[in-house]
Amino acid sequence: MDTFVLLTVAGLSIGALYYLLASGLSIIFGLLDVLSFAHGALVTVGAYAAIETMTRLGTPSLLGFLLAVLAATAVGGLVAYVIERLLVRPMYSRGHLAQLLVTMGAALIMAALIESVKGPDEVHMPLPKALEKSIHIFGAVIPVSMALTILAAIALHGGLLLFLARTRHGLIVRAGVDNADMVRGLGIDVSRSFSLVFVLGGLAAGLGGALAAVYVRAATPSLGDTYLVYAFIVLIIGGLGSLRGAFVAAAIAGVIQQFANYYVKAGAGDIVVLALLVVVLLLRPQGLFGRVGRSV
Amino acid sequence: MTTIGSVLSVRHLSARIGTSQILHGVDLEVPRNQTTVILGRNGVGKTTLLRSILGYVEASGDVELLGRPIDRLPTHKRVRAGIAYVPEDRDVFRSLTVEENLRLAERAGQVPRYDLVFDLFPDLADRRSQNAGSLSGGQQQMVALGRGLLAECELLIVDEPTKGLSPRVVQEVVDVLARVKEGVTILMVEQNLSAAQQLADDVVVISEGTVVASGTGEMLVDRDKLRGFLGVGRSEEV
Repeated sequence: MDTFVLLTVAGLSIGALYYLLASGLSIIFGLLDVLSFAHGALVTVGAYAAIETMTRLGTPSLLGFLLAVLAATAVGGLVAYVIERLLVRPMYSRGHLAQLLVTMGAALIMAALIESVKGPDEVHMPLPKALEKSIHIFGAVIPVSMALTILAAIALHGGLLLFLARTRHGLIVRAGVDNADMVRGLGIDVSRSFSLVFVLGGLAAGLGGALAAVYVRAATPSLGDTYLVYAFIVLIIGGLGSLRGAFVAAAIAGVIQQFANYYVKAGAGDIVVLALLVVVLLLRPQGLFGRVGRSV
Repeated sequence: MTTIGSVLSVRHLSARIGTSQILHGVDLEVPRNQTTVILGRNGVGKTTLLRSILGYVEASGDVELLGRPIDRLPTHKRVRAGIAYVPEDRDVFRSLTVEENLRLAERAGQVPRYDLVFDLFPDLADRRSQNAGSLSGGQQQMVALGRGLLAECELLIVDEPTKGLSPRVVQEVVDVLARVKEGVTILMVEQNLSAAQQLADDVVVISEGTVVASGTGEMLVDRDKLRGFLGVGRSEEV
């Protein structure tokens, strides 16, 4: 029982990290029809920002960790804003290939910049004692950091749903997913919503970076790339542009990955997740929660 | 330069979509408090003309609203300058409720005219929380018109409001527009000649991307002459 619980929580925790990345990708694709390959680099930037903040603050404390998470989230949002304004905005009308190349180029540049400043080796993430502790759930010993990651993903999901359902900007985003031209025809500057959505995605990725650094206790210049691959898989399984789909798919992917790694063989989890992707594409090409057309 | 009394003035408007030249130097005046109906066969550039005025289609030429040039503005700023737009095929936001569709049309600094909209379309008040995508074509047209009328505007641009609607709903839409036209300037594309006849103060006929005739609503009475302008044979329905 305790192994089952531990694997489930570990799976949900890794799934939460996938979701922190996939949620941004989902709303960006939903509104902008852009698949941003720069998003993984935002996770890396967030992770390094968190580590840098923790290191500069000296002895690790909970307050310091909170500041580090805030710094990572803010840096993720800021870098996303710059990428959108300078690189992605001129590419909106150029099609997916141009967007893919530009965002991939941005990711490579950011990875090279981080490597030139921080070096290619792992940089350790200092953690406050409170996050090194564990809690007991149904006999399983669960690291606090795992629970924290899951709670962060749930809070982000709830926050994004509230933003979309209850705010005027959220309303504009949902309408823009339906028909951005008609939103302009109502006198609304959709490009502001485009920037906002990109920044929201960046904030989530920055937060994901800080929590990924906690999860692996370190960061490398390629940290975000691994998560980006799974975030895209989750996005497709859940349904491109569907936030709820990304949330459910991330949980499923994380959990089956952990179970396969434990019960089959280390590394088998990756194959099982890819197999799930293939099965979903064959049986329901629009994804679990996707529809023909787009939604958020 | 805008003619005195004109709300909208269009000069030498040319537009291209892909490699096709759709509009060839269109000139158009839309007088204040009048309903100007654009007629023409399918594919002659009527919708492209409206979309060029709104900035959806890249075009050259001058477009002035109340004497102010708007041809260099993006679509949302042209609309904010005083235009309301009801597009062909309604374009309601299908995944949003009726109320959310209407809320999007609210403009900063203006009191939204929900009383007017629900007075014109009482059915919408009962269906506020219904998804717009689940409405009938006629109800969707009411949402689209309601969205256009929610904010004060100088010019209401309406593209084929009766397209695809049953005869009963067509008459309802015409009746609403007949009420609305008392207080606003309308530029409308309409293929339904009966509807056009009930609403038009002025008529502009377009053929092959240019204005081939214009005049008052009386033009619609002489169907033989109209056939000539439209390039329609005697045996064809006008």
